[in-house]
Amino acid sequence: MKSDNGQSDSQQLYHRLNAMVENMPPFPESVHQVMTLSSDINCSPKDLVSVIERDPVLTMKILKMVNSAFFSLSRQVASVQHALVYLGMNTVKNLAVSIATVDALPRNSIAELPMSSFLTHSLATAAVAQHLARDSLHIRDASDHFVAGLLHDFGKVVFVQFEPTTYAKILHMAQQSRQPLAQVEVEQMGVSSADVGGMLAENWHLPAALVECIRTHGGCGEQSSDLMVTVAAANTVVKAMKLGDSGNPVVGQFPDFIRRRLQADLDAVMEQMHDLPDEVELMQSAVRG
Amino acid sequence: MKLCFRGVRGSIASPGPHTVRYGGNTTCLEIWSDDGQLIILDAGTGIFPLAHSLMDRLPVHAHIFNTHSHWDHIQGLPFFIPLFVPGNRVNIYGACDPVSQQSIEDILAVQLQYRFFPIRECELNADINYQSLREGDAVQIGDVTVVPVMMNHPVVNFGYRVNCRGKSLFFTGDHEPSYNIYAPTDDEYAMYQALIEQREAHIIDVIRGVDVLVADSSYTEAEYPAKKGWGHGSFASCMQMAESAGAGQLFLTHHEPTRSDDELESVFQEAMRQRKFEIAEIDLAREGIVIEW
Repeated sequence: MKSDNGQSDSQQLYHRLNAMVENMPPFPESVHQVMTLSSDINCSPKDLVSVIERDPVLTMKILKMVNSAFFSLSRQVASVQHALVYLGMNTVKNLAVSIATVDALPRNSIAELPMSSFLTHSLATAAVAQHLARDSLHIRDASDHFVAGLLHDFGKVVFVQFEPTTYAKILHMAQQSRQPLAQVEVEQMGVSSADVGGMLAENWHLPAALVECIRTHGGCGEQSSDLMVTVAAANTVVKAMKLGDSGNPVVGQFPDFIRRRLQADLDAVMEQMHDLPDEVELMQSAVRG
Repeated sequence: MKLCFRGVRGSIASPGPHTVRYGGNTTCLEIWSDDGQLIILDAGTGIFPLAHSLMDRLPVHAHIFNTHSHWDHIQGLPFFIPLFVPGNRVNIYGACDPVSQQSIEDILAVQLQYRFFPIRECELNADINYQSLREGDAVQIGDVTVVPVMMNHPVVNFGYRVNCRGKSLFFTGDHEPSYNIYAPTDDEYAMYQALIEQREAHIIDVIRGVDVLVADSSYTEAEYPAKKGWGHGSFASCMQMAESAGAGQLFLTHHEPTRSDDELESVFQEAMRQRKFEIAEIDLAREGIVIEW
């Protein structure tokens, strides 16, 4: 479908959302931490990475910048650590400062999905996805699994910022009806948060596996990549453990193929992850300083 | 292929009685290919004597490749006299900056501002063209191919491989081998190490089999730990790179500005005594020497 100025509806939506994300601030605690760390000439790379990688907005914006056509590297960058290895500490630090000091829009907040609960869900999913990749699938560099877990619901941050009133209503309807949130999103807005997150990630030239994971983590299947499997499983684990909030009232179970790929069922993974609440609390306290 | 070192000093020009033998000018490499192309790697203060030598060869058609935008690699550019002469053509290549979002044009424009320099960019009479490069974008100039690869420095830094008619050279620009930011006991250590190994392998692949490798060897092994993260290599790290890539000859450059000629020779001899790597030929880069092969 084309509008009067020749752009398709999806192109128009992308341009509006992209402009909005440009002005979307990182989480206030991360901004504070980035500014504090970056004013120290001996700032530890490890500390800086731990702040960036725990903030979905900072992470997404750094990956967007590093993977942009403007600054095209010979290989796509899939994690904050990967960006650090390619660009070096000083460039990543200065990128983080430029993102932290963006002339930001005021952050919208809705009671139906508080951002602190959302952040807990995202961080916990990241931690579980990385654990599953490393310990169950024996993947040595599992940093992209952490990133995919952190960003799998990025579209929801965009909806909260972009359409707070409508999205609050959608979250409420899903809670009342106990229907999958994605289904209510599509019924009410014609597009899911996963579609929106995937569309943005694709237009920002993020690695294809990450784009696919953001777009379709809810519909993981037999042929899905390891990344999809770890994130889908982690999402279920974190909801079952009631850590944070993704806004989706449906918890679900591990389908057979996930059990086979991970050689574990939901209860077993939950048992493996019994330290997760403490781990997530530790990650968040690092960001809070 | 002919290489002349026009500037081998790191960080800041260091003229004086103690740097006469190796030279005090900052980084500039003059390369003449077998098909007569002039390739200049970096425009530190060493580009000024090069500029003078070109004035009896007008018109000049030069290709200047900038490794990165730190002062000691761009400072001589406003003094590259061919830029002022009509009929000359100067192509300037380098990386975009992801933080400021500026292209390579910035390295000249930022210096040619009224407050800092008497001549503005629009007053230069040569035909000047800029080309921002991305990693792996090969530039073809006659029979010469120049390939940029990302190195590790506190700003985006390209190493360049120059190939012509079966002969080759690689210049690292300023480069510190990546190191693991995690402790071996950290969960993330192995993951980060895998990323480093992947990156180092890519760099070595680009350098592999090069005839001449010119590499940043600012520090001795003893000095390095205090300078970790500053973006420079050591004598040993350059030797390791040369061995891994199978380079024919290694020239060590980016000499510390505080190091006298005698001290430089002394630390080099010590590094040679302690070397663990097999390289056919290793020398200190010296301003004014010409290597032809």
